[in-house]
Amino acid sequence: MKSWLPRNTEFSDKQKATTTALAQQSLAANEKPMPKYVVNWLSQLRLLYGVPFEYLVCDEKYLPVESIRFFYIDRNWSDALIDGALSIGTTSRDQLFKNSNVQGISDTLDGLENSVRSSLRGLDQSSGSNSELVCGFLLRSSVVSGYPGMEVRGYADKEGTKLLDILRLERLSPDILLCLFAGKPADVALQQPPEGLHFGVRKDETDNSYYVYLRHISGDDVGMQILPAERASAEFRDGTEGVLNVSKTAQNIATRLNVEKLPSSAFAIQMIRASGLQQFTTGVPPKNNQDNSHD
Amino acid sequence: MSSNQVTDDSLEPGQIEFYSACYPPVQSGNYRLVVDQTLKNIKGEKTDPAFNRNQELVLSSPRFTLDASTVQMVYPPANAEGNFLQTLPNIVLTRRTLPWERAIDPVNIGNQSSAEIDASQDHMPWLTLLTLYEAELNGLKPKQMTVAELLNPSDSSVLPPNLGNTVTDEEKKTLCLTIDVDISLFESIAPKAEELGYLNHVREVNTDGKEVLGIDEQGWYSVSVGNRMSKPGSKNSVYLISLEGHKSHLPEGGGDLSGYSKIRFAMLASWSFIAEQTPGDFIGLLQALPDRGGIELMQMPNRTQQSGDVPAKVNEILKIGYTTLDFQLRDGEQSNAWYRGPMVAAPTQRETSISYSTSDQAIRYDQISGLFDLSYAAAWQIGRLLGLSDATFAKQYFDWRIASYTQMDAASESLVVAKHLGSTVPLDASLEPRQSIDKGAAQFLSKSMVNVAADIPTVSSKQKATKSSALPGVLSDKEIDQQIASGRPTVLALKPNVTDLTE
Repeated sequence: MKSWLPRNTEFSDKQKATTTALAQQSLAANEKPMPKYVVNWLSQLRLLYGVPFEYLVCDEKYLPVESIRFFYIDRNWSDALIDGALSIGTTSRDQLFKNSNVQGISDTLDGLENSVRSSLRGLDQSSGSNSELVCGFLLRSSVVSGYPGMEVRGYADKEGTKLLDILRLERLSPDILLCLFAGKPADVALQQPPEGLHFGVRKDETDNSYYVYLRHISGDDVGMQILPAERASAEFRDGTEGVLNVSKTAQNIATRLNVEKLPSSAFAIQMIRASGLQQFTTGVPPKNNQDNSHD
Repeated sequence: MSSNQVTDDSLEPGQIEFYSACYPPVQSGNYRLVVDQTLKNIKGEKTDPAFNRNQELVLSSPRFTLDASTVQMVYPPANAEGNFLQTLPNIVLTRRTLPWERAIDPVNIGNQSSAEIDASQDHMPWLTLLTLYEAELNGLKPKQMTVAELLNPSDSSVLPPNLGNTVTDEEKKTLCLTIDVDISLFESIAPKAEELGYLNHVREVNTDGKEVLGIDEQGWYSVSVGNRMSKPGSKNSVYLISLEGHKSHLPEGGGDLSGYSKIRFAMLASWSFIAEQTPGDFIGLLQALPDRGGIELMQMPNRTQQSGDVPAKVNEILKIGYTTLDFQLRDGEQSNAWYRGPMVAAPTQRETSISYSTSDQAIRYDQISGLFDLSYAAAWQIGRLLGLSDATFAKQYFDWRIASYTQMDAASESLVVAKHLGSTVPLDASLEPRQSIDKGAAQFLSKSMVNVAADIPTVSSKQKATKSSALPGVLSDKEIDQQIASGRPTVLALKPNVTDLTE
């Protein structure tokens, strides 16, 4: 076709114009927004939904049996992941398109990070602000399979006042739990699913002994657990399975509480077993952490 | 806390108050009310007349049976299957005095007054929970029988409760449920007499309409707690039994049990539940973590033992979460490469807009160790594979990309047009190129055209009159009338009657 302009001039003009248009193009200004499904899919991918476990933990030594591992999310890794997903079926032009769009998409996904979990749970979008830092933990323990309704809370401060949003909380396998927080937790609390008021003892899994956590039996805090946690060992009758030596246990408790004789109401209070809560606090050696557990 | 001094403070909603016991003013049983009256100083009487009266009283309360409505709640719930690890079963009864309403040893209280009873019996509860595991049941089944049979078993190896003559004939005829427990088993699992007090208490609950700690009851309740933990992976049967008349048969009770193989109880309530096999105690397992897998950051375990020649820098790489994996290069060479997943032991600086064309572009080279770092390359590649594996995502993303191109093509076309028109046509830079061209073109046309307006000839319309009568085949009303009146064939009237149209 004949043109009133030299073809190569027109072509170079058009190419320049396209580049400009692409450069000007951002997701927000685009009249055609990304389809909702694509946005959702990408924002889930950013929280590592669907990423094979071997990519998350490439060696079992990272996460041995009965362990908990805290981590930061490497944003560069997840950005590379998203970039990979966006580069399906790319020609050179698609590549250009992707390059000019990747920042916009990334910004959109940053803004949506907080709502993935709430939308998956069928709730209104969470109003929490997104955090540049995403941290979390992997818990590999038989606790995960044994207590399916376990509750997780992460706090930004050690006093446990600033609750962090949970971006993702999911069992990756029967005994591996993944939790991602919007921010860096200073204190993480794992709580047993709540049960009714009932009585029982606790078992120390390291030496198979039994104990109860002591509670206040006088003062304003009556009924509350004594903190830092104090234990009295629960004694069992010899030769029979599971029979509590009530007198001896009551005596142990009375000795620990410095009272002569424990009334049965106080004994009942000591034997109450509420759902357990275990805290992990940063900066505190894990061993010292143990005693922070509540009943 | 004292049973006798109940504070007047009412409970706040959500509060539970525990009491050691709640004693009835008078224990149940048979009483004789004795009234003596002597009239003195009556005129004419030498001796003061004395009157006396005996009145038999029976203070009745649940004894051999318990109305089902008395049981408020049991825990673990009846027939439930769940994680009841290290749980002591308990039963909540709506009568707050029930565990203390009867004397555990009614025979020895004989003719004592109620005050003496209070002192001597120390208000020992007469109820207890017996927890039996499935393997111990040994065919044990509650049997219905009369109270007479409970007290006098036909089998002489069965030890009955010793109630002496405190049971009325009427009571003996009533039916009750009983269980016969192996005496050796009973001796090993039953609470001792001094333990009974600890296992019964009273609670006052103000739930104020809301469920608190799984309790929805309100008011005063007595609670009996079992002394035996539920056994995981087994069915656990719990029996609320009457210990009345069994005080000396309790463990270390001093009674003579020789010659008996079973012991018979009036059973007031029973339920069973299944305790599931669980990995262990929640807190126990979590507290065992440091000794087992540890509480650490996401990094490979310390390798100092084997890393005598490893440079410090390399150790640092390990510390921030890297590990080496086998790496098969494209040319077949076997090597190692650094890899680190998205979960890292140290915070990272985010690079802005990562965009790679291929995964190889994301490979990094670490000069210190002389190894490649494949972390981001692997991330990029798995992202791409995941994108491809979801057909809906791929399709919608493609469609969106193509739609965006169409839009951009239109936009760039406009830019080219705008560039060429720019010298001739005023373009409004504040508008989108497309709109600015449209507007500019309209303005250009309206401005240029106004100059040539005078040269365009004005066209005036021609008036053309048409006689309807001149049209072929069209008759005036009058002609039609004439035609009809003349009676001539209508068809002839339609002959064309052509006349000159111009006047």
